[in-house]
Amino acid sequence: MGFHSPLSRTIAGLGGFVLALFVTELALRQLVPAPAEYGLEAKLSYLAEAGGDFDTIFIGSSRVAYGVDAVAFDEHMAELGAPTRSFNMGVGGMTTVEANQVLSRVLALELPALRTVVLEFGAWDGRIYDRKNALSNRSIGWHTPGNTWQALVALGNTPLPRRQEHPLTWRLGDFVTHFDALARNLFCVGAGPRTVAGLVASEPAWRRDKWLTVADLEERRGFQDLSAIDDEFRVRGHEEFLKRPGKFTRRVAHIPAQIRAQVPLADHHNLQALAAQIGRIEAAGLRPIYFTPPGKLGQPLGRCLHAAGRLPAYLAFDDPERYPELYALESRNDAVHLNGLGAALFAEYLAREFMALPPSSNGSGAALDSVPAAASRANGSKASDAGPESGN
Amino acid sequence: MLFVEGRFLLFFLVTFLVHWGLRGNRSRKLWLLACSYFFYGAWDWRFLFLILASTLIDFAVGLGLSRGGTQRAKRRWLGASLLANLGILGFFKYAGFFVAEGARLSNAIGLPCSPATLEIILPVGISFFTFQTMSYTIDVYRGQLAPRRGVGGFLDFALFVGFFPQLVAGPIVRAVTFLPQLDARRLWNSVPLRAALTLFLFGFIKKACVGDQVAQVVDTVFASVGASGALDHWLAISLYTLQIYCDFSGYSDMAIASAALLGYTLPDNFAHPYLARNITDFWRRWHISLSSWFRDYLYIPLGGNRRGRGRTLQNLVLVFLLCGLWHGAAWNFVLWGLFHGLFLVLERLGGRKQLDHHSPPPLQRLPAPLGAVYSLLVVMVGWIIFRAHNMADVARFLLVMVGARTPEAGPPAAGASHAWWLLVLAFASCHYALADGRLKKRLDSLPPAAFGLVLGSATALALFFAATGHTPFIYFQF
Repeated sequence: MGFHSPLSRTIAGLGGFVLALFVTELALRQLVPAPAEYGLEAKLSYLAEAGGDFDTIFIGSSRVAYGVDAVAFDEHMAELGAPTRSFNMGVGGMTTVEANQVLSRVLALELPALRTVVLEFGAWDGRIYDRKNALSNRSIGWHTPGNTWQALVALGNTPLPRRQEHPLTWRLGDFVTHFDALARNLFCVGAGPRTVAGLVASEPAWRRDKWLTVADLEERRGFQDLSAIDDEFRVRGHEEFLKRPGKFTRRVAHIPAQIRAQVPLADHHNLQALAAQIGRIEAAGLRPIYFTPPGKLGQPLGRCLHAAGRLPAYLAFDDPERYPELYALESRNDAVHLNGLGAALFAEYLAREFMALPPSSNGSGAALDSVPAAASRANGSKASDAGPESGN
Repeated sequence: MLFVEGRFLLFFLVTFLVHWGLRGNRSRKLWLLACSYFFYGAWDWRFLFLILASTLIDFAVGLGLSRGGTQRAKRRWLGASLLANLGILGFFKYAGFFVAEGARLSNAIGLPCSPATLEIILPVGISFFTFQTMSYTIDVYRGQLAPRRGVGGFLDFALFVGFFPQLVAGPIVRAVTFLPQLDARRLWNSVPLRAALTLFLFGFIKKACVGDQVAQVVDTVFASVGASGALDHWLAISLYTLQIYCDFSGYSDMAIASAALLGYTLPDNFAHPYLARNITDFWRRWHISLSSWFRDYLYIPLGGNRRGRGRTLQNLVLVFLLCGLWHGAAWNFVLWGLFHGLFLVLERLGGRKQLDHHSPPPLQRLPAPLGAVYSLLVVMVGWIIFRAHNMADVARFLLVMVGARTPEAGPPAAGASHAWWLLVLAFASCHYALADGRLKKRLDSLPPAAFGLVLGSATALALFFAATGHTPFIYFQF
């Protein structure tokens, strides 16, 4: 077929360009590993290789990574008569939207024994707080079209923060950055070197990770005892915390009033995304449980959403009156994170509250929920069919 | 706004579409001028006044020169232009250096002196646009170019100075090359679309996939010279040889391609310099627009090679001393210029004029492979001088390279994996294979859809292997 007119030549050239660009990107995309930062790739690659018998997975930020001792939790669950085998998929700095992407990757693994996904609750904030890392591999990694859309919707719903610049300026800046990250995600910008390094490496990512040791994964199942990490940031945070313990105690004193407050459900910036996330987990035959670890602030929104039926199962540990040991100075590394002792205590509380959860919609209690994911999938329900996300 | 950033592509897309959407030549030029000022203002809007001042001064000088009058009056106009341009350049680029060095000298000879530190921000691309405007006034003075007049003439001249593709890092475009292109409306049919798109992609690959990727290893080794072994130092300088070429020629490629897509032709700036057979040949291939500028506006007016051998060698050294200084206000640039000047002098020695022909000097008669190795080694040593933080580092670097100094205790340079040698090898192969232009010809002969397919796949791969944290172009600082 010949292209004689300039227009037909242009269309043919442009068509060829677009086709080759997208086909090549699609092919390359299959090879791109998860971002390596803070052990994210290591944890996912470990799950893919050795996660066949995990039935419970915790997903969330550093408060999960350093706060949920999976082994201790399993021991307590076994003592309570409902043995579990859990894995800590917490990664420092993980936002609600990124957790959604990690969830997609976990669901895509189709782990046969998986029954419960426990997610740290967040308000689905689409704002960009950390401008320096706004275009990091991790940020680019979660900016799939679906996630970016959810982040943009959330951004649109976010009220103007106090002491911020002009509403249009900051919102526009965040919008542009989200689009930039989306474009980089779509075209796998910059993913080549680490992809090639991963392909030629003789060992899987979890064996060569610098942030997590093999023991962190095999023996502690993703949990890292913050007291044992010799990291400058961690040590400085701990020293600062010990210098001014009164600051933390004063904050904690305000928490009971904070958690009793009634807040509008609209404080959650993307209720649709939350509902879709719950739907995807349930469609995969799993039980979603949301929880708030003990931090320096009270989280009334989770309680209000749970009361309104928007969160099917919610465990709130942000109550110093109910869990005073978790707020004792000796249990904490800093105002936000528990130390090893705190994590051990938290595992016990977590197990107890798990057992106290009401039965899920399929009639069983959380701990005794015996519908394995594989059985549910055998009935025709697939994680990848359930929502806009798919692992990439 | 870097050429490899998404926001530049967006900016260029808007510029391109509106430019070709406008019908009139003047409206297009106005649009391009506005875009160019926006582009430059995105770096630092305050320096728009500087570029505007430079434009006004040289436009006025051009008018003054065109009035006729005596040779003496013309010289005065030219002098005023040179004074203004070199004054601006001197103030922004060299004042801090000379004041600091003057104070150091004064202290050394026992006259205590502690001047206030000058904190002068170097406007991006000042050396480039200053040389461009000077080429205009000199060409008008010489009668090689008719000065621009009136509002339309000013618009043309302002666009010549500020044209965004070449504004911040060249190529240094001569008025005599660019201004005539502004006389007639650019035609879409004359745009070498394939060549321009291919060139832009090549430039992108050079800058983002090679230059930026190797920067980390280079920076690590140069940050602690002598801390790692000889092989790491050889690797670092080999990678820096790649980096500076890929960075600068990549920028030039993208600049030339962007201009071509807007219908304008900019001069070539590189011609496979690492295949040069000697240093004289290297300078015919490296930063051609600068070396030819110095040749035409300094070397030849100084007498070139017409006033005897001694004067020729003296001129060469002077020109390369200034060429080094043009790159930056620091001793290592001066030394780098002198180093190249010295080799140019050496290459001129030993030639004999015989009865019927001129026998070239020995260093210019080396067999091609030997000549390429010789010039590459000299150029690499030159890059050590160019890149090192100080003279002590230069000496240390060279000693470690030749094994005359053992590395200091410490860990090996982070990231200096020997897998990088594969990149050096791949680059060398491409550099050699692309020199004959056959690949470009083959691309040109492809049917449109096949060309699109090749370009699309190559773009996808280029984006895949691009470095994400882009370092500014090395030559922006000049």
